[in-house]
Amino acid sequence: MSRPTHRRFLPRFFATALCLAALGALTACTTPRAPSTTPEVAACSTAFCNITDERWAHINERHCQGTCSANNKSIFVPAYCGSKANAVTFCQDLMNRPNCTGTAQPNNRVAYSATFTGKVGDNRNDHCADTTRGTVIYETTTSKVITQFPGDP
Amino acid sequence: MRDIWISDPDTGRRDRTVEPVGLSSAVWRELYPILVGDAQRPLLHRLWRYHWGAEGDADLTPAEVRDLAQEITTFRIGSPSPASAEAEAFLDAFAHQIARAAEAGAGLRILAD
Repeated sequence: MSRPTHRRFLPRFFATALCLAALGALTACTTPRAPSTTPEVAACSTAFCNITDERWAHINERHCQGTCSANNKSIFVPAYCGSKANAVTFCQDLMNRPNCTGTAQPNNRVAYSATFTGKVGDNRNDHCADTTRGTVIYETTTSKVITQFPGDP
Repeated sequence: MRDIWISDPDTGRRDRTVEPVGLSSAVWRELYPILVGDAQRPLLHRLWRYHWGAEGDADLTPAEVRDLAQEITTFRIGSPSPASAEAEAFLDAFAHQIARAAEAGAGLRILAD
């Protein structure tokens, strides 16, 4: 005598559900994903251009010394180099540009970019051509500057 | 943008006779959710956490380069292909640069904007 339909169906249903749950757990274990930590992006005008000596040393070494090298090194115009104060001026000018926009990065950093009216520097990503674009990378929204450079992030 | 150079194992100086491999911000962002937090590949995790500034710089010893060669091989075998052709091309070039450095017993120097 055969069992009622629901008695045959239920064990199969639970077995299938168990398999799907196990498959999901296995997938989660074998394909790790970083936690999503996208910060809110504050308006450019609220920024404070805090550049520490260590950060200035990096900017100076990477984007003020020597000449531009295609696909390798962008260089600022002299007005934004030579001293930390000049670097702060670049940051303030960028954050006050009306076309300044900020984009959250997956590691909580925020990239702010803007177009200036004049030349900002020589762009490594465009065969060292003049660029009117500039970028400031913040540690978190508008707190500490990580770096800044001519061109886009 | 970051550049991945082969470096002298003793001085850490870049080997300028070999072109660096460029890691664009777009590729870094695309691979970030896959590589950061991957406990099986600690070197790739470490290299992918930061992309700009001094914290984006890195120096790898020859021993670390050999380990990285293993990590990139297992990653490429065990993971689906990246969504973009740019990321696929980067992984090809990156793996080639790592293999070249490992074969020469050299290090890797990574420089960030």
